[in-house]
Amino acid sequence: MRKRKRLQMLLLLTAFLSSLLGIGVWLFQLLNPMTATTLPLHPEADLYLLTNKGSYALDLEGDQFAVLEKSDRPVAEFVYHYYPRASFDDRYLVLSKGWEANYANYPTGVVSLDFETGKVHTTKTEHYAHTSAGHSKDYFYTLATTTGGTNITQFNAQGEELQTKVLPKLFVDRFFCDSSGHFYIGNVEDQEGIFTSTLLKVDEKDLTILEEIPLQTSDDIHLRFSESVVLDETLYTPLNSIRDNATKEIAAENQLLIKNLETGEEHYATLPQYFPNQVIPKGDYLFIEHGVTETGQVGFTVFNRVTEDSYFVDVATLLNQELDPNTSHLQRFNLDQQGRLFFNVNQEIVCMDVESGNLLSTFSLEEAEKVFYLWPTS
Amino acid sequence: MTISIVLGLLACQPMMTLADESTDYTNEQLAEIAKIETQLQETVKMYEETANSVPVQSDPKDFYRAAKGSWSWRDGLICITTKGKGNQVVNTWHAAIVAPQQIQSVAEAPGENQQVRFTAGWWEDPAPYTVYQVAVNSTSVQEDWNAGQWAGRQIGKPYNTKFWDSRRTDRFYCSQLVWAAYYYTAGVDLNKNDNDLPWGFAIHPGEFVTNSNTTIVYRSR
Repeated sequence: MRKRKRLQMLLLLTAFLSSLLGIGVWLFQLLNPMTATTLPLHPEADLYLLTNKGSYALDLEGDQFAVLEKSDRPVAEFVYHYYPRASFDDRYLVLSKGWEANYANYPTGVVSLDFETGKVHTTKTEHYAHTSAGHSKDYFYTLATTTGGTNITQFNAQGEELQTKVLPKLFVDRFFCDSSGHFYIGNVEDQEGIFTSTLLKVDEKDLTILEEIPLQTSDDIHLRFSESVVLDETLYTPLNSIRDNATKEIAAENQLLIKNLETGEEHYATLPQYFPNQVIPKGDYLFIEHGVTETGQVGFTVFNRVTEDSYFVDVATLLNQELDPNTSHLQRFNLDQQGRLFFNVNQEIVCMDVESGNLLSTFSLEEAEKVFYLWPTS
Repeated sequence: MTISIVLGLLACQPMMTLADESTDYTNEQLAEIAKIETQLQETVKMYEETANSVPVQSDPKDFYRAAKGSWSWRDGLICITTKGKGNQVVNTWHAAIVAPQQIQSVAEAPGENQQVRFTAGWWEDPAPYTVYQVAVNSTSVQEDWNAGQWAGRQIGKPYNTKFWDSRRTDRFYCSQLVWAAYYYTAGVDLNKNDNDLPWGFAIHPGEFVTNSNTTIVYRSR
């Protein structure tokens, strides 16, 4: 009898200690999160640099970067390099964080950063950018393609999840739009192996498809667009390559489709390099990255939307150093109001004057430091 | 005892799923799995040494005309990384296949509790990991496209934790998806039988980089 009582006491004590330990771990995690809850804001900062190693407030005086503030805690453990982030009202940055796979597993969610108050808010959600991400003028979207279609989830600037819906289509990469009330998304129709590209107009209220706009007229070929950017109801989408639907062979392209979505008028502008991929709009410019492994050249096109003039920036020449096309990917383009273009290549942040194409400055990152975003303050 | 062996073998998998899956194994089968496990470290070492010792070849089917030895987005190319969960048995490393449905994307079975999905963008696994791309030798451009498209059509299907049950097409693990894409569309069997058991076979991604039916067209280091 006494033995049984002792056993019961032991069990109770174990349960009590386990609970205490659990509360302790929970409290420790609450008080010491792995990721930052605030940004290191500084009134003199020209640029905020967010990486997997922390956040920096940088000052660019003349041709020198100076670190004004630095936080060693990153805003997220991992942000997939390929999927777009969203900025709203020159104040909020929203991005999807995390990745779930056996080969790389990081906590998932949607992070909203407020560059006015410095607050970092993380929303835990299973609807992270699983297949892709994009944004309209007012909302951030994550995509997950499944057998039944694409699951699209809408978040506001504060990172709050608003609605989610399955659209019965297979979608291509990204979408972008400056309109309120609707957005456009690229889509590839797969009909018994014949692929055609279309653009879908989606209502932001309830995520229903309003219209399907064809982007090609022939079934003999598949026009392979990379990203779609819609500005003032004009679509800009780089034509990366053309696939022959009979032979499946692919031919390189260097065109930019410009289509007025209200009148249907369209034309192509020729770009100075082949395999245009990611397109980042800023002001009057589009910055278009090209497939470095296909072209063998690490560079990007600066396309002026007003004049439709463009020029190619060979980054190896700009930096006066050899760059390996297999590892030197160009990322995170952003432009400030003084015409200073910031971007990331390897372990460098590069600042160049967009008008003259001259190098202004570089900032070196630590080894294995990955850039999540570059946020100019002006 | 039997459950604990499987849990030990497949340590990264959640216990509930494993318990469900492992109840199908007999003691004899578990002993055979354990034998594979003891050999796996050596097998994986052999894969890496072999794959790193052969020269990288040009891809004769590459219409991109990419520089020799460059990463390529040609449909149907098999992508492999040595990065994976270190304590798994057969699905250490990772494999995927370039799918034509989405530009610059692979179709992949990323892991437990994850569905087959498209993932866009280049692969960058820094040292000590190595990324490879291999082309299947005997197939045409059309057949490679077919394989990539077939894999892309499996999106949404769940992960297969029964690694020796590779013929099924209702769920996939990473290298099974790649193997199945070529097996079911072009009749090309990329199984080298390195991890076979009398009652089933499992495909390790390393079998694609050390395979007489494939050519390494890209190696990251």
